[in-house]
Amino acid sequence: MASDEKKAEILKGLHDSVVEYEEEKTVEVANEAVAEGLDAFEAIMGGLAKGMETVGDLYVRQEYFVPELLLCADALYAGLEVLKPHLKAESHAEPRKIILGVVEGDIHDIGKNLVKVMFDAAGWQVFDLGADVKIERFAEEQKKCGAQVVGLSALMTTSMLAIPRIIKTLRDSDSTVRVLVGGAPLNPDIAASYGADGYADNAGEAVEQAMKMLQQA
Amino acid sequence: MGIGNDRVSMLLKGERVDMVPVFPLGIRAFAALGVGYTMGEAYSDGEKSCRAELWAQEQYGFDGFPNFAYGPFGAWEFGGEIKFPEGEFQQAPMAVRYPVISEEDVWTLRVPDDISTAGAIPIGMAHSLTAAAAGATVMTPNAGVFTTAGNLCSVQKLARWMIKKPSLAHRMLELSRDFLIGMVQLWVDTFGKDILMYNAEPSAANQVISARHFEEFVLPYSIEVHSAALRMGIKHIMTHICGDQNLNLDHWTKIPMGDPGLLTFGHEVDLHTAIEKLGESSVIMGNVEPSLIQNGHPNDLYDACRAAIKAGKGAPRGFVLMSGCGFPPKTPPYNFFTMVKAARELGKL
Amino acid sequence: MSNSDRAEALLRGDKVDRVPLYHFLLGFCARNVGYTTVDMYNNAEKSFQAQLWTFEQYGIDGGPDYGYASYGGWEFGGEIKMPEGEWQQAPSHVNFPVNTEEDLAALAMPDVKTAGSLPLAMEFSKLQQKHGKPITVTLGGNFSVAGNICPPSTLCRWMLKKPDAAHRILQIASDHILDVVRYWSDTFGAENVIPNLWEPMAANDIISPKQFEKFALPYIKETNEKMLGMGIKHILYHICGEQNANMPLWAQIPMGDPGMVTFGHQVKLSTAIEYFGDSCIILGNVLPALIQTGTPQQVYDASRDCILEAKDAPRGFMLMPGCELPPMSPFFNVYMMKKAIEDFGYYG
Repeated sequence: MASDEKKAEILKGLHDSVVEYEEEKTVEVANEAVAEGLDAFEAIMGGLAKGMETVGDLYVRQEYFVPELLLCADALYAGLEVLKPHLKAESHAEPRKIILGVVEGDIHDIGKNLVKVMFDAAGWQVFDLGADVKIERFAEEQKKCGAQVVGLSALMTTSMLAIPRIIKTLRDSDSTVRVLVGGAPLNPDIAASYGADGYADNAGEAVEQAMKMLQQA
Repeated sequence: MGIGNDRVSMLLKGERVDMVPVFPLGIRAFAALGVGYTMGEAYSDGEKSCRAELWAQEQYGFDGFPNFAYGPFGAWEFGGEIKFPEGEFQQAPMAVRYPVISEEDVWTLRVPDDISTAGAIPIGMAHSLTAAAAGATVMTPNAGVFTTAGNLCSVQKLARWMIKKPSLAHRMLELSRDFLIGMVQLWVDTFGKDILMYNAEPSAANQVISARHFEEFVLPYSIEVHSAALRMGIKHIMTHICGDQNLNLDHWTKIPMGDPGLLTFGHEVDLHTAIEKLGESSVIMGNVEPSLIQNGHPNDLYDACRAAIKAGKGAPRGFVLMSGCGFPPKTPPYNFFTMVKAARELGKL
Repeated sequence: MSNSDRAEALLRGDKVDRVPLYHFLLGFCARNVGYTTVDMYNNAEKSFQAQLWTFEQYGIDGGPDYGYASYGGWEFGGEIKMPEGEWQQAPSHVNFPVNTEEDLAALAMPDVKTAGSLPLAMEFSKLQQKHGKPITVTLGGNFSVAGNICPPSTLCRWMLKKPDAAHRILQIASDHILDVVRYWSDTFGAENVIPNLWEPMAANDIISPKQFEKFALPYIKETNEKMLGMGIKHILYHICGEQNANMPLWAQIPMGDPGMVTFGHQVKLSTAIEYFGDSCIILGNVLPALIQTGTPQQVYDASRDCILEAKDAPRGFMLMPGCELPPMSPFFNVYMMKKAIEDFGYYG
């Protein structure tokens, strides 16, 4: 068992290597965490996820931009790959679930991918349907996996018109599902007029918005 | 309140106009879509649909006045059921249940006690109130007596009864007549006599009935409704003589239309013929083919407008360039712009 | 003053009677005249005609133009898909010509006479010439073309981890832009050609001002200098999206005399005038989503605000949306922009 001091050092190492988008270093520290017998869940949440939280803040503060976020995400996933096989089944509660997708007619998925990273990092189970997702598929997948939240993204003014239709099919199929939307042409007013429960201006805010929506539910 | 100041209204007052006016018949759904409303709202929300028409009028610079009419008018008002359009391809309300199903129903059916609350009447009233508030000429909903009768029991049934059980057919027409006179009275009570009565008779076209049946089942009731409206003080009746009515034209000359009336024709009736038979007493309107408006190349549409203007321009009481029937909601806006442009360029008077 | 006169008068430095109206609006034209969206992108004649008609109807000055934001992928050997169905707005990538450093090393410069959309664009420009319209060629800005040759996420990663590869692809994009503009200049005379360059990917929604300074600025600046050196007189740059932090850097880039710079709603027009007003015509910037989803009154008010804010820009101002006019915009809302000009846009 690692000493408290060592544990703190490893968690900080995981945090920092994600923030500094040092992919190899993240793998190295994650391996060290395993070797030192650190609880994998703790290493993920206290190290990698915390790092991603910092990254989100840096993004909101406009210190980090998309290139940095992408590399931080690469580091995060490299670390997760090492740690996830060591997770104990009982070590954490059933995760929250979210479905993510870029709506039909739209292939611009950078924003959605960044949002996915944030939810992954926050310990959510993410069902990523990709880009150009047919309208009905969101409700079909939601029925299958029981996600509490569906996140819809659109970059084009034309494709965003599919959002109210998707929301309607989701509500028709499960009235309790919460819908979070985002993307360049949207704003809180448009989101509300489309019947969405929440709007996130950027990837850094998405998880917080989703949590709020669930609390309101 | 009263007759407005657009070019069509000027023709009614006997004033000279600078160019052939353009009046797209039944532009409500096209206008609603152009503002970003749904097709359903064009029919279910009187205020929105009228506002959309007024906005379209501002955008395209056409003449005429807002018009609340739709195909199955009468069915809902007498207790049947209609469905407003939804989805991509529906373009107008449809009757889903007629108030008269059996022969017995004919004898138990009554004109609604309170016409002001019947079916779509409140929607039509909201539409007219919006028009009046904007200073536009007010027009009643469709008071076509034969078409309304057909909407109470289905045209097929009415057609069969005309041959096999004429007493049933006449009863349907009486009910229709009484309802429409009551409706026109409601409009006069609300807006005064300086309004137009509107009458569209698609079901009386020769694609459906013969001139002989027209004479027996359309003519007398139309004369009664029109005469009643004129007795109420209404000065002008606008009548859409829809579809192929070539065989009915002589009968139409016997129906009073006011002075002048406004007669609109489908592309099936030659404008020269229309002017010859009815041009002395009515403003003649028509008759660009709707499918050309919706699907045609702008240059072909421009040519069709040229032909209509050329044929109609000399009508003694005036001519108005119009679609030959309800304006297709999915018309590309540039095609409509082309019609207005044609009138401006070719219709100078 | 006729519509096409107005934009040209501003370019000559002459006075105009009112604020001109400008649009990028291919998809909207398709709806307005009853063509398909694909017609606008793969049929030069229909695209040109539909724009002429729409401009006449809504009183739009300047144009028509041909082009789309994902320019670069197809021309370098990738694949794009023409828009189809109800929800697609413009051509989009199917795959990119460059995914790896090996791909980059093997990448050949395209023949501008035959590559991708360029034959269509040339056919379109010949129609512009035939009809006496300004001859434009629409390309991405240097950074956006680079981000269309390889996936934008790859370009982003390379900037941080493999800057040599990022610089290499930017150099290739820059050389290509010059090749295209040279071809147009040879065909029509440089003084008659107005390059339209769109730079959405260099927005601060994606990259930092420092990254802009290092990876976008030097290439854009050098390319513009070389275009002007060829005899190009005016460059139109669409400085798309959130670019406030990049503004001092953009201001270092020559755009011609005058240039034309168009902004998204994220950049205030007063800021645009501060940085570019003395050298460029300012165009912008009604929020596109508002035109699509707002009420007519909201569109009118937003247009009025733009006009009042920028009407007196020293080299002139043209009202336009902050990006492409949303194809599904209600027709009446588009009319409201012109109405605002009629009510507030006249000079003197």
